[in-house]
Amino acid sequence: MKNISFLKLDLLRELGSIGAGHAATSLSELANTQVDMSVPEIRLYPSQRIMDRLKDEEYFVLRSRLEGGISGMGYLVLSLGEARPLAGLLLGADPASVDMDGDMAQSALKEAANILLSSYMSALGDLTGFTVLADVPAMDGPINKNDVEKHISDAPADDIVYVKSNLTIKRLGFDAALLFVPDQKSLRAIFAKLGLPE
Amino acid sequence: MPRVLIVDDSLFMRKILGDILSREGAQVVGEADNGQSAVDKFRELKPDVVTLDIVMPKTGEIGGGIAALREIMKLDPKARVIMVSAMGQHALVVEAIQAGARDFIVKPFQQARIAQALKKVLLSGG
Repeated sequence: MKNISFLKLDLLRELGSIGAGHAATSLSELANTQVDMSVPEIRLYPSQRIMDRLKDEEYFVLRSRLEGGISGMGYLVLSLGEARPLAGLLLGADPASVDMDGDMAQSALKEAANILLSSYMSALGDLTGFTVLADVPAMDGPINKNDVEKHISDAPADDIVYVKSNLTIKRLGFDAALLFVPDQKSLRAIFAKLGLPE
Repeated sequence: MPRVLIVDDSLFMRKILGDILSREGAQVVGEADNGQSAVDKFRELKPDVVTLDIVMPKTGEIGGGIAALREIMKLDPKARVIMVSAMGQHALVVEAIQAGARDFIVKPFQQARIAQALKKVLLSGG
């Protein structure tokens, strides 16, 4: 996938935009607040870094295996400083009082990831005609910011394509990364299905 | 007051759904966080309605929501089960309806839609 064309990159950005748009709508309904999204970026790992501009904080990485017509991984990456106000909002509690190691806060974050990734994949499914299912999310963290990259990457023989979007809630200072990582076979299937074969 | 069993692997979603159902005048008589526990609690509590998450990790003999649904329908073919799904699980929802589920609700929850589903399944007989 080293010679991915501009047209294919553009298509992936568009897929990311539609997927993240649906995810933002779902988060907005869940948290009952306005959620904005960034223009998606495509990162080819390991020749490019996946995450940059990480804050000097600990992070949570929520990951979900994607299965069905498109397989791969989906990730929600957010710092402790972003997770706390989100958990507070979802639980209807003062963020300062939320026990981030507690079962309820962790369950709320996992469910937020589940809903975001399922919404994202639903949009991709509608667009491509593939059925895509996001498995129950698992959660790592809090982890050091220097370890985030290795938590969201394997050791690929070839470049792996990461479609990265950011979801923001301005009033909370919330800015989480949502990553769609199709495997190579699925990537080829997506391009073929949408008229851009090898 | 309808007696409801809530089945979801997410503690958070059980709380959210329980709060909404209580506001709608239902009594939450039990909770389960996996398919096996759902079947056991159904047998024990005989609820009027079950809300059943479609995607749950496999624990015990029974896997996710659809496997639990099939077991519950074996125990009581007239069981009123509302499936709970996230967006994009259309195929699983269709499979669940074919297996006997009466209705489905989608996360994130909207109270009006839950009230509608509850009313629908209670009116549909048992």
